[in-house]
Amino acid sequence: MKSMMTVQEASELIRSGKKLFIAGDESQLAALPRGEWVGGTIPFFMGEAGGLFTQNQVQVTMLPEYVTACTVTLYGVEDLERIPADYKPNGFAYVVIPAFSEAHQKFAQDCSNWPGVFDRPLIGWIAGIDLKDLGKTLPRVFNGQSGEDSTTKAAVMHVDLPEDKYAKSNIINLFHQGSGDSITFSTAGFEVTECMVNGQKRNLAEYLEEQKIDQKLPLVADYVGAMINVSFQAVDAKNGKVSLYAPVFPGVEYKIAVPVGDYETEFRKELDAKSIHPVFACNCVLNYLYAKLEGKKTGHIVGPITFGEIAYMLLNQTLVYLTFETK
Amino acid sequence: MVPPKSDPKWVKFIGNIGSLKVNDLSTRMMINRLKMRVAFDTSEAVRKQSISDAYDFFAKNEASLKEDIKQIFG
Repeated sequence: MKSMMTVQEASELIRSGKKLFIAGDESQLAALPRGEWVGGTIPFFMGEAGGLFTQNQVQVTMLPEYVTACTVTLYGVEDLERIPADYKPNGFAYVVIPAFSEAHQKFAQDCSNWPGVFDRPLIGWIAGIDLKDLGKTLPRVFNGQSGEDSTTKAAVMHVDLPEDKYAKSNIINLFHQGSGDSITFSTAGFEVTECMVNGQKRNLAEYLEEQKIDQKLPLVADYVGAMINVSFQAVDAKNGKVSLYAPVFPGVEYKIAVPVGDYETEFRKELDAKSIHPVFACNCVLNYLYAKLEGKKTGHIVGPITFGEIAYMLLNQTLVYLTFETK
Repeated sequence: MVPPKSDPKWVKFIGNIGSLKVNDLSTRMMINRLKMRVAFDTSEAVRKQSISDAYDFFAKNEASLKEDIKQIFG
């Protein structure tokens, strides 16, 4: 099945009872009928023909027929912590959160502390908008089952699988820690002033300017072998402030990433090495922009290009994917 | 197989948490969380809670984390 389709085509799938993840422009998602789907706004995609921007089509991920149950719930900021408690017994949770919302911030800073959060795959993305509409409109998520939508709540589809299957989430991150300075932080947050560089207190903005760091290269932390990026949003050298697309955390050592060569080529190498066939995948809008992915293929992988990727936690400049495995 | 909570392997698990090698993303994330927690609070209560959390995690995912469980506990 092709992933990019018209509202009419997606509506037919919904009416036939298919269980779907849908991404697209607000005008498209708002026109869909109620059914077994969850969605979020975004106009950037990894399509079958390569990276593309469109506000006239939606991208649909259809879950296999063997999925046994799915329940869509909107969680407000105060309810986010309940997400793991609602995990299905043998399933996974697919979450879409509107960018710039308090839920986005709260999820990013706190989710690793929620009891049971790692017990089942938690995968998803941050909904976004056309970059030229920043400040004019808000990203939105949709609960297809209830017909509700929200710019403030997280939409989660809790999915259950038959006993002989299990879901698995993973990432492809082309960035690795460089061999440069060790950077740590004393507090968690998306906004940073002070940090420690090799144990010496520094202003991060000054340090980045002084070292002429390419801000397209993320900070990378090593989570027991998983490379976890935090990307730079803005560096305000005048006021000594750095804004990030995900929070940094105390007790974690970050290093500036090694530059990636040609993204398309390096991505292809990773794909060939892993031989993956995801049920769902999403990639970062920063990879789309920095690596100029419009029209370029990311192997056979399709999915939304998002304002943040989620695999148990908020990630940046990372491809996240979900597979179903047999026990 | 996931050892019972009373098994000394769990004490070793927490003691070695900074140098464990695992492959699954969920295990990596979970261990990283515990690593940070026991680094910030070295109390016995936190160690016990961390062992309990890790036990629950592996017990709930025994079928899908066979390799990581074998890697950690033998």
